[in-house]
Amino acid sequence: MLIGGILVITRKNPVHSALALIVTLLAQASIYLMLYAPFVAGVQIILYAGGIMVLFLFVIMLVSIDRSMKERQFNSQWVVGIIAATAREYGYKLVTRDRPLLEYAKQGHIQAIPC
Amino acid sequence: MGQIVQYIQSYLGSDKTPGAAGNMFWVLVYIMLVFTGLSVAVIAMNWLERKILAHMQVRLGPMRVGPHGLLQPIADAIKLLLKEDIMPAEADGLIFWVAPFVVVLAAFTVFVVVPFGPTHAITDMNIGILFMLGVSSLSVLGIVMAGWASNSHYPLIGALRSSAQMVSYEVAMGLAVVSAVLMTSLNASGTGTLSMIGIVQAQQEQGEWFIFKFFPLGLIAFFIFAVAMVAETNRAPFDLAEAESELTAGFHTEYSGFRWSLFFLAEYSAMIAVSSIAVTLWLGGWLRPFPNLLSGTPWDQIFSLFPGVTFLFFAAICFYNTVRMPKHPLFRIQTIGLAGFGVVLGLIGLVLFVPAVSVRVQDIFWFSAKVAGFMYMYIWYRGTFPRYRFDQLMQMGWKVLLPMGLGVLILTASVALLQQTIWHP
Repeated sequence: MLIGGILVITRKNPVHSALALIVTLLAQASIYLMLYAPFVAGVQIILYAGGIMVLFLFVIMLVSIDRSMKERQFNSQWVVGIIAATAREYGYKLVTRDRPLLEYAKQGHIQAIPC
Repeated sequence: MGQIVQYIQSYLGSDKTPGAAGNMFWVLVYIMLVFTGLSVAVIAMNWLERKILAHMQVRLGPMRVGPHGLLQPIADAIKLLLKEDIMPAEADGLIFWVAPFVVVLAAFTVFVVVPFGPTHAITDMNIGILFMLGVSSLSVLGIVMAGWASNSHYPLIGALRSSAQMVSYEVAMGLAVVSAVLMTSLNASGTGTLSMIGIVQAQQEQGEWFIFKFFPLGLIAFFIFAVAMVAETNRAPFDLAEAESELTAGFHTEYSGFRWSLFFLAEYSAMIAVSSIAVTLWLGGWLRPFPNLLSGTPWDQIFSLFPGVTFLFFAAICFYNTVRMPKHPLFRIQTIGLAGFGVVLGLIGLVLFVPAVSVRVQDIFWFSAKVAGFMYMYIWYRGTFPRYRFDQLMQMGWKVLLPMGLGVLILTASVALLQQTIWHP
């Protein structure tokens, strides 16, 4: 799933990106399966992989590929972006350090749904 | 060694599918059986389609390779395997290479849940029908990939048409399926199921195939599905994706040799897959016809003779045509071949009369016979209906089938509710 996700944002060709996104969504469906949620996995395959992504591809194929290939994919602010994302992640860690999610679950706010 | 034998034998008394029982050995055996059976069915369909279409158009069809062209599909397969595998210079290599495999995988994976009998399926999932619809909808991705990667105009137009068509007919198909799934909840236990085996067992329990349930609601839902499934597999009269007169061959124009034959294989196995969905949902799957009218032990025994009788009938046709063969020495080998084929069919038929065999095989026989009926309908449609125009196709999908599907769904739900609350509380 991670490989698929990375491919989505690094491929220059939008059709390749869309196909990598399909791989990502299928991998997500298999994660649902591993979590004993077959119905969600089935719906995921039908709706996302079978329905929405086909429409994505449909539109992308009508767009001129040559022009979009020449455009630059990343702007020059990606360094700032990475720093901001790291800072945000660190901030999240700071906030949740004293109250881990597991404790929160133990108090009964979140329940595992038996299948 | 002894442990392995014990592991293999431990499944034999089971009343579950090998997948549900978790026995890897029998799962592998079943996968092999289904795969070979499917390949043989596709080969047979190839010959039958050409023969039946030819006879519908008052032609003879293939006659040269083997008696009555029986070896023609094998000759075709050898020709396709030996052909050069051409890839257009401007094509997108990876996607062009992957596309046929995506289509074939989607078409074959579906057969994991197809119930040939109460225990004769590879596995039984509790999302069976959802799995079938989902995986078969993935094949459209392969078609789109093939059309785009060829980097040519005809395949691109073909792929666009086919994806638009498949996405829009999937909606009507889904609604029809939901109305059948609703009917499974009208048991004594009151819970519905999505499992393919569970759906057939629900029909057995209610003593009624869903095509006859709440007449004519079941019939209308079946009709919607029967139309949508032809559109879904891109067959005539909905074969706009590969309309020969406009697009040469549609999305697989640039493919040749082995890759083209993969598309061919996928198309036919997808046809068999959607037919088996229809058989499972509305025509009672592996159940024999007339379970109520002709019930009781004598009728059960008479119906258990059917598999053998069918094969003997085919053998009789073979022998009849052997006698009719021209007596010229040139036709000697063909005459002998046809007689030999008849003998093989007759022996299969005789084996099927053995009670121990016929009890185990008759559910597979009834399922395959119903699916074979659908395959004949496919050929019949192709021989009789003219191709739709694209706007007519869309109009049919969105303005006729979709409202009909919604209406049938609502009516089925209301009638089921009425039946449970007012008529038989």
